[in-house]
Amino acid sequence: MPHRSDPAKATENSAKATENPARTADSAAACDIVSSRFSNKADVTALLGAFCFFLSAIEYMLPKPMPFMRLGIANLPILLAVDLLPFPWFVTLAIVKVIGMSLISGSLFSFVALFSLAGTLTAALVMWASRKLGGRLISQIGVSILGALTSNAVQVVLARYVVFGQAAWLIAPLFLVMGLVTGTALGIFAEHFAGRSRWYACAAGLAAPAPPRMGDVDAEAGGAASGASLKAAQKATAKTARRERKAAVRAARKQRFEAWFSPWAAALAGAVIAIAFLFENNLALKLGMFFLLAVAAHFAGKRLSFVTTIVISAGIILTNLLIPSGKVLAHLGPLAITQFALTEGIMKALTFEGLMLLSKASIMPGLKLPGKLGGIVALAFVYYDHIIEYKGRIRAASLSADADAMMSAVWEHENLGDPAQAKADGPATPAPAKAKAGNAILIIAVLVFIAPSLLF
Amino acid sequence: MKFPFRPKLLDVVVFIAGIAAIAFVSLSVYAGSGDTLYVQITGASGEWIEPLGTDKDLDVPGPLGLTHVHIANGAVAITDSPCENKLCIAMGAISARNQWVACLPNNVFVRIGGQTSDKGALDAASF
Repeated sequence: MPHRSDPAKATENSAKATENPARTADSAAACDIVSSRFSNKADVTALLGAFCFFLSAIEYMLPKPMPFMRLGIANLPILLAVDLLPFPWFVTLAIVKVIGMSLISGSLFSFVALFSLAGTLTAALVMWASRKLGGRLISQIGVSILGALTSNAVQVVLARYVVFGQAAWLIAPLFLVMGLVTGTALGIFAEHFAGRSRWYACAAGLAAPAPPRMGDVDAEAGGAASGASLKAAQKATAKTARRERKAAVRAARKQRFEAWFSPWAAALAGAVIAIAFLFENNLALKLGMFFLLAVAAHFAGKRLSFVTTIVISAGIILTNLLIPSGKVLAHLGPLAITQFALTEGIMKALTFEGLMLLSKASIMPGLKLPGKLGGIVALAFVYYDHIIEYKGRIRAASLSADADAMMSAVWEHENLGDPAQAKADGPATPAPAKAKAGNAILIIAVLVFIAPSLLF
Repeated sequence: MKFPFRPKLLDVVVFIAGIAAIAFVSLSVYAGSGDTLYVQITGASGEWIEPLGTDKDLDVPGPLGLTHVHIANGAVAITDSPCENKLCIAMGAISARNQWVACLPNNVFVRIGGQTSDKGALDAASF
């Protein structure tokens, strides 16, 4: 996470805040305007959830050496929330984060969502406990490290049972080292941000630190010539004209797809197909289903990366081969390629990638979840839209201040306080034009997928 | 030089504990993996490898028929073979590295291979 800051200046600012009571009073007054909203925990949870979505979108754009490697910056709002939200809302935020991110990326029905849920929830519990038990002896840094290590450890354990087999232990040290490094960096940033953010101070009910004088902001901006603006970051996904054209074609496909299927019907069909696919043990049938799912995800207009699919599949198959089992088919240097390990690896890779395709095809952005939780997720999406439309700049050199300005702007944009209202008002989804034909297609698709288990 | 953050006591403790945990996991994973033992079965039509830790039954084809190999509880034994003297069954179960049982008439050879952390031991493993 690139951020440069001038520590001397930060201390100077906070010193000014204490020296100048008038200014502190001013910002406390500014706090008051919206402070009643801070007592609406559903609202605060939704805003923090929206920032989780946003940060995970940023993370998605950053280059990764391995598809599984993550910086975990999307956990920043959860880290901040340890001190802002009471326990039930804190857990709700963790769940909203997982559900929202799975809806955006369309991975709700895949193992990725399961990994994310298990990792996020256990990490959240550990973070909460360490903060409450550690009291004054622990800062965001220690809490963040514990959270990152817990999350990565849980995901390695799950990976051992779901995708990689025994050989998952071999990657455990690498994952833990990564957790330690990113956890420390994130914790340091959270400390820095919490010390400077007015939004955070208002939400925490503390006296708000004084906003930096314009001169300070300019001085900080001076070194930001290389900093990327938010807009540039948004455009980074579609760097070339070719990519943009592709995206347009995909968007058109998506629109056509959405004219046929209603989000709920698609999700329901997806859930049934997921179970049928998960328990299909015949390699040939599973391969056939996999191709059907790939076609479906293509027509859904979802972004599919052939290279990522191949890399992840190869990784899963290779790790499974590390523990030989079954008839020896060939020797590859010191590695014996064994039949059972190979089939097992292919099956696991197919399951993993197939569920991803299925999830992408059947989870549509218009899907609205029921209940109170669904309301908060919907509200978080409304905030997320505001974040995306935010016109301010985010510069590496003044990351904390810019992020704070963005949070305040989105928060003060309009009163969205009532989750139920947000749910009703949210982006309206008109009933799809060809819903009847679409439903018929979904029923046929479900029948095709459950036929093998009914027949054999 | 001033740091932009002030770590507290438990932050440092957690960081050091994290490094210790990583060191422990790395050691047990990379040093311990050498202890894995495998059952290597060579028959007339090919070679099979199974981890000694699994529970599995295999039918290995030979010129006389199928030799039944039973792997369970960290030991392997030939439990049935179409030979006349049934010596292989009489040899019982094996569980240590470099031990073997064989059904010579049916061309089935079962041995335990793999690496142990015991550096002094002879390493006759071929994979």
